[in-house]
Amino acid sequence: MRAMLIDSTRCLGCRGCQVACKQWNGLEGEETSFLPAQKEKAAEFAHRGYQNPPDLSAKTWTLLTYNEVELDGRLQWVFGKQQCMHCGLDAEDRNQWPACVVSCPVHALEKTKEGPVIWHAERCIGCRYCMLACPFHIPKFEWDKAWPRIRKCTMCFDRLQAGKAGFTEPACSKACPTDAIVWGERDDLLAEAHRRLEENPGKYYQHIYGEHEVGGTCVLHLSSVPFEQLHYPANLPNEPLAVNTSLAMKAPPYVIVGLSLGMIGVYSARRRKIEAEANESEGSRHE
Amino acid sequence: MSGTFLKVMINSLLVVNTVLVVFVCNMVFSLNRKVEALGTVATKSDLIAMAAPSIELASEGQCTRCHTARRFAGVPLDEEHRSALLRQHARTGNVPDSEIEKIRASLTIFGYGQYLTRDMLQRMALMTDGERMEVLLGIPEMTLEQARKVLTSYKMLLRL
Amino acid sequence: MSETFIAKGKPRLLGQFVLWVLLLVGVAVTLKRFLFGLGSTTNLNDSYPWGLWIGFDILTGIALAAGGFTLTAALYLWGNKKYHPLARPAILTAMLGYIFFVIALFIDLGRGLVMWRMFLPWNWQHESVMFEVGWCVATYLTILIFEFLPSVLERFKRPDLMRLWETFTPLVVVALITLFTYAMTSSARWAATILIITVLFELLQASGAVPRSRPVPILLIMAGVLLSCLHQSSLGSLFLIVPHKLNALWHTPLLPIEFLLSAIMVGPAMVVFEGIVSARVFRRRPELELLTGLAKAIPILISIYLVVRVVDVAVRGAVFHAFALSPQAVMFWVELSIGSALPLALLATPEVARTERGLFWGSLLTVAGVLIHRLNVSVIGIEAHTWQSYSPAVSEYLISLGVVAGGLLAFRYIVVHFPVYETSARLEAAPRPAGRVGGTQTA
Repeated sequence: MRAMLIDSTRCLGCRGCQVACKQWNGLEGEETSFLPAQKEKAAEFAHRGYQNPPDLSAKTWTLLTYNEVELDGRLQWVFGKQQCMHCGLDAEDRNQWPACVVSCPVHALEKTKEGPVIWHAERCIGCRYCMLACPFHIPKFEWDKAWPRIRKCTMCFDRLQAGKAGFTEPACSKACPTDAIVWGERDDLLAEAHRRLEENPGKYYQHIYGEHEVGGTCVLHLSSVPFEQLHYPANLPNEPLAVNTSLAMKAPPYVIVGLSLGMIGVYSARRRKIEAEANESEGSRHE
Repeated sequence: MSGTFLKVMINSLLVVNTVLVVFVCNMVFSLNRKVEALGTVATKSDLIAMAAPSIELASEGQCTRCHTARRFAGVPLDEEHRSALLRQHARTGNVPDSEIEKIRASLTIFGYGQYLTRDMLQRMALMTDGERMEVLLGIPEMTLEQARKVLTSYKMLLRL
Repeated sequence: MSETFIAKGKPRLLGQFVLWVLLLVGVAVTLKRFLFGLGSTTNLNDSYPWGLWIGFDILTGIALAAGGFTLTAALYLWGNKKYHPLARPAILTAMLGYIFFVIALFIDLGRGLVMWRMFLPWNWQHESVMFEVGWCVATYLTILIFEFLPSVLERFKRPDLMRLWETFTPLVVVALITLFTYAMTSSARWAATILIITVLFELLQASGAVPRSRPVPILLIMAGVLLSCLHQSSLGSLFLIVPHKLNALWHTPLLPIEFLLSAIMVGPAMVVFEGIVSARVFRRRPELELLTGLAKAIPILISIYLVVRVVDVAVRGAVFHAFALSPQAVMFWVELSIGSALPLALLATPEVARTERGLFWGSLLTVAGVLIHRLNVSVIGIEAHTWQSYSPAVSEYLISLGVVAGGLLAFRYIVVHFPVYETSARLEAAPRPAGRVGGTQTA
């Protein structure tokens, strides 16, 4: 499984990844303005001033977040990279599928065996269930279009499929000047992440975000501060979200057969009783 | 109709009341359980109070009973000599085996007495392993392996 | 014997006018939604993709149409013949409810035009709750149309077609249920099992071992009950996958059970409510005796539902959320007190449950309770912990009201032109029930 390792301690905040993503996927730009000055959003984004655009959207698939934190008594920026986490470690096991893949009624979202979670435009019916299910709030919708689509990062699956040597890695990872974003096999990246944590314990917060969250994701994050300070969703369960519905979805055939038999039984018994009573009353009337 | 009105009101309030009683009992029970579980968790000051004497014991309390601090500080601190001395202690000094390990650990720590002062050792009691490693790796000429050994020794001494 | 008649009462013109205005305004705003996208007519956003339309039109709409399957189960499965006059109105309410639910769904879906993709075998996705809901609703709507056909055939006086209907309906039902089972499992074994069961049952009836029900084939009713149970509970399963977003007061592995229990509870309530309101609107005498009898079941059903809810919240340790200072806690208590405790007390008090007014308020509050519960689970209880928030836009309300108005107008049209309401010799001879009856008696 291919994965990405994002080490925010190496990040400069240059946003080359944001630009590369827009370039490769041909995404439109968004008109933005300085966040803390926007009254409705001022309180929420006060400590995240340079973040632009304010949030992921149908036109912005990856976003560099600026988070003001206090480290060693000094105020610093710690950068986070918001994008699809490409959850799930097993493309075959339906119980390990990401929440978005499990919820789509027409199989428009698919967990590929290479790792990325991709989306088939022609199948989507726009029900937005995937948006509700995703714990990272990733799938975004084209609210302003008459024929809207769900949009999100695809880990540049088309580059991977084209297979041109040296150009299979995602655009953001290729563009990153400090190798804060590294792309490769998940096991290798996980080992590398553990090594970094052990060798420089003071530099990192001792946790790999994505190692176990929702069953493991194909995007791993390292950071110098706790991840809640980077506004990454916290308190996520360690099991894939698919296990919550798997029982409910196995039940229908049993319900169908069981309830049918039950109803047949009830109907037959009641009918017999009613007819027996009718015959009885008729018999007693004739007598 | 006021009789019926009252009846309906009382009945519905009864239902709400039952629900409230169930909820409050449930909360009281769970809170009780949580408070009882709290008893076994030490506070920060407990930890500091317990850590300090433990370190003292291994480094000074026992050793200076038999020989002076100066003699103790003059002990050569490479592995071979240390092991030999410790074996001697076991044979002649009536030092129980469990204490031998503690002495070994405290000698390891003592080697870095310049950097790992008493004050530092006490502060390290409340740190996570990562933070402790950071402190140890900050000592000049410390290797990763050696730091791991010091950490193990330190944790042994901390054992309450 | 009872005979059906066509309601000729003078419906209030003002009410009709208001409904038409609401419908036309709704259609206009819907046009805007289709031309300019969902963002132009809703306050939905990326953090809150589901809002009023899902919570009200879809979830509540389907719950309130539960009168169909509960009443037909009581009448045909259990054999309680006295509820016969209530059957057709209940089926009509359910059928219209589902038709207008589909319309509301089409408005809410971003790409509703390709909804049919869900039925293509290569797109089948058994793990998706929404897949099951979609299939269930489509199949059940077909069943409902079949259940309502006798009314239509009677209107056009075609007893020959009635006989055809009687013969073919069981076959259609067997085929539908088998196909449905196969779609839910992709397993030939399960499909074969249900096929054998249903065919065997038909044969048992043909041979006389089990008495056949006339004129409505019992297989049709059973399919209706089965599919209703499945999708009423699946609507609850939809929210199983968001334990991190749905407030602990509502998220539970028992969600499908709670949705099913509340649907069964609101079925009789809707029948009672609809019976009383339509009596006032069409100036008929409400079948008070029947409705009171039906209403006796409601307090028991509410109690069961309430016990499950309360015990579930307590066992999961979520009680502390009910005492937090949050809108969710407030809505939880509103749901519990006004939506469950009050109607329970009302309908459990015999002096109240006998009167028209008491039945009206009791059933209305039960319906309101289910409405609040559905809104709590789908909108109010969802906490996305991002910087966005959601409250419905005016155009969302307008479209929802337009859909409801359309449903009511359709109901009125059908009731006036097709045999739905019954008179019976017994009802005429019955003494005037206590409580006021509005208007003059119809022909």
